[in-house]
Amino acid sequence: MWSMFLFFLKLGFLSFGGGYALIPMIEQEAARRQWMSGDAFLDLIGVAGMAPGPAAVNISTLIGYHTYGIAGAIVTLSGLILPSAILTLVLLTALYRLQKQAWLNRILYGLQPIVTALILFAVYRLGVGSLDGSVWDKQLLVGISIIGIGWMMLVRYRMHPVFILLFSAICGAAFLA
Amino acid sequence: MQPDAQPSMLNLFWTFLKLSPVSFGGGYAIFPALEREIVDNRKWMTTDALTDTLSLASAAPGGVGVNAAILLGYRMRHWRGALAAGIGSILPSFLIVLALYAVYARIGPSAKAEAALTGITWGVMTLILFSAVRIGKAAVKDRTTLILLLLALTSLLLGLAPVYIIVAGIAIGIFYAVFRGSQRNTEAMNRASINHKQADPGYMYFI
Repeated sequence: MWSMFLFFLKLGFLSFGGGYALIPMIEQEAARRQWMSGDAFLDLIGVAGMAPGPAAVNISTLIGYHTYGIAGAIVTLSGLILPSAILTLVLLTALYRLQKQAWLNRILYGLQPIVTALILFAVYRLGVGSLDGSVWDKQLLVGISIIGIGWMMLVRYRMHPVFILLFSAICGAAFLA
Repeated sequence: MQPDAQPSMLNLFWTFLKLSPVSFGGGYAIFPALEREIVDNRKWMTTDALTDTLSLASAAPGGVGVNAAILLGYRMRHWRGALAAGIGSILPSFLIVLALYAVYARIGPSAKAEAALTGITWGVMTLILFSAVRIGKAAVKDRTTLILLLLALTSLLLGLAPVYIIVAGIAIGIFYAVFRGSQRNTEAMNRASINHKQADPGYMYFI
């Protein structure tokens, strides 16, 4: 269990911008250490994608749970989250302490466009990831309609985001099954 | 500009507990709900302060949603706030994913559920797109930032790892400010610093 903790600790430091890059690394490590079979891992990815929260975090939780039960789940989760969370806080407090605003402004000036690009890229990746060859046309059509209607709900009618998720789930079940 | 509020620990915990089930598909999708809850409903901080914090949370290592919760908690109530918000944001997805796994092990995959999930993916994309527009509005201050955004997007599409782009962005920001700012403040930097001068009381809480 200790080696599992260390592995996820290491991953925690690498998970910039959401951690999609971690999934192949977790898969390799799981196979190498024989935490689980490849099939079981694929099931895990499916379940992890169904739950809210970052996929990498969910997968880690499930691997821990699969291998060592609840204790394992807590170990992998804290391994993945704690170091990066603490590092982030320490870095940022240092930043705020160092100089109140000027440095922060400079950093944000360069950083915010990058973050915008990261977020746009996340949209792109989700879209590409969910489209698979055969149902491309239909899914794209339904998907773009969901985005269009969802955007209206969000911007014009100022509805709560949870309704957009509900709406999209219903659309999916109705048109994509 | 008002300073950040200092909500109770329980309040912080509960708010993030409530928000986190919305975070399908990773952290970015939670931003619109965060803004609505923290700025509009509870008035804990201003949109500007929230946007800055969310930008930093997105650039730091670790899950974006968790980072955002921890940073926001810390801004308002220091370490204990960070802890309350962090745990609040992790707990629901932790429990939900374990519960789903237990259900899944029993009934196996279902076509309807998978289709609903595909639908949710597009709903999530809507929310993330909205976050991108919100942060993008704060981000694109002039031509330089616009070019930076387009360059970053291109490099991501070409497969460059985010960490290099983040480091480059920080470096460019500092370089640009030192270079230009020392001679004559550009309008954009001026605007940014005026904004933040007014925001100072808010940051006092952070320090």
